[in-house]
Amino acid sequence: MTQPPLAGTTRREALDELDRLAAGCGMRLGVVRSSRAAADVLVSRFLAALGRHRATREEVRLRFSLPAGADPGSQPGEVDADLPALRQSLDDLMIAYAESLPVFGDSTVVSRLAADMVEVSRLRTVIDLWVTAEEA
Amino acid sequence: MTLSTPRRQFIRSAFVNAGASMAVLHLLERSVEALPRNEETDIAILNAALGLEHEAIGLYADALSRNLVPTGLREYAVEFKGAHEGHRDTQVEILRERGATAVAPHKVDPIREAAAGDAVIRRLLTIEAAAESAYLRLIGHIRTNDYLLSAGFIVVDEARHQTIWRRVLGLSIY
Repeated sequence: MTQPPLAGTTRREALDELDRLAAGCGMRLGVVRSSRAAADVLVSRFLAALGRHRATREEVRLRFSLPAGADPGSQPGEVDADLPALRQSLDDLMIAYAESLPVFGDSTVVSRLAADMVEVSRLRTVIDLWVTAEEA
Repeated sequence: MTLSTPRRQFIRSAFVNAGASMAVLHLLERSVEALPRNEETDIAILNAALGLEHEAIGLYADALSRNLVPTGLREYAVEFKGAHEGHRDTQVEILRERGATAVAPHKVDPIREAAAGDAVIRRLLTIEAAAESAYLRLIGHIRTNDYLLSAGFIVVDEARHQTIWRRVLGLSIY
């Protein structure tokens, strides 16, 4: 039997990692929106989804009496409007969600985080289709 | 909750055909809110999910063998069939490791349409939506980490398939 990749990870560490990766996706989406006017509506919806997911994670922290997550705006670094890099960021976030599920040991939390993970998969697929269309 | 819409009837039929346990069916239909987190539940969920994978593989195989997938989309259908076969193999292996019997493939109703077109894609979309919905409903009730991890990776695949078919059909994807 293979060991889950996040075996030994605490709930707090898993949530911190999701927050960090989601903040990176948000930064990339923000840059894409400012550089591609036609993407404004779509990107705004994506950012709203990431905001909802962050609220879910904050509720999970409260449920387990964990301290609040870091402000996503506090993440340092600069990103560009590269769509394949955005796709990779969403991919990393989606995988981190999947790998974190066994950490929580709570059916309600697992269900809620899985729903958010599925939404990230949709976002990732939309960006993937966009990349494919631009490459064609 | 009654299964009144054609889509829900189709989903129920797929699960019944696949031999899903009544406990899992009741959970999916929301006539019960929770299942005990034990080995028996895990096995029931695994076999229900496996049945749905058999259904999806059968539908894709039917569509592909009869050239019912429109030109240009065949590559997606081949990829998605392969993904469902991977999900099947993963869950059969988990069942085998636990000494449980995996449900065998059932006879899948052939696609009614005789020519490629949107109706066929809608049928494929229905099974993808059913799979995503079922995994999301069941995932919180999985007890063991190895299966929970696998289910997580499976459901994001289902979401991808569903998103692409919705895009093909011009349906809202986000």
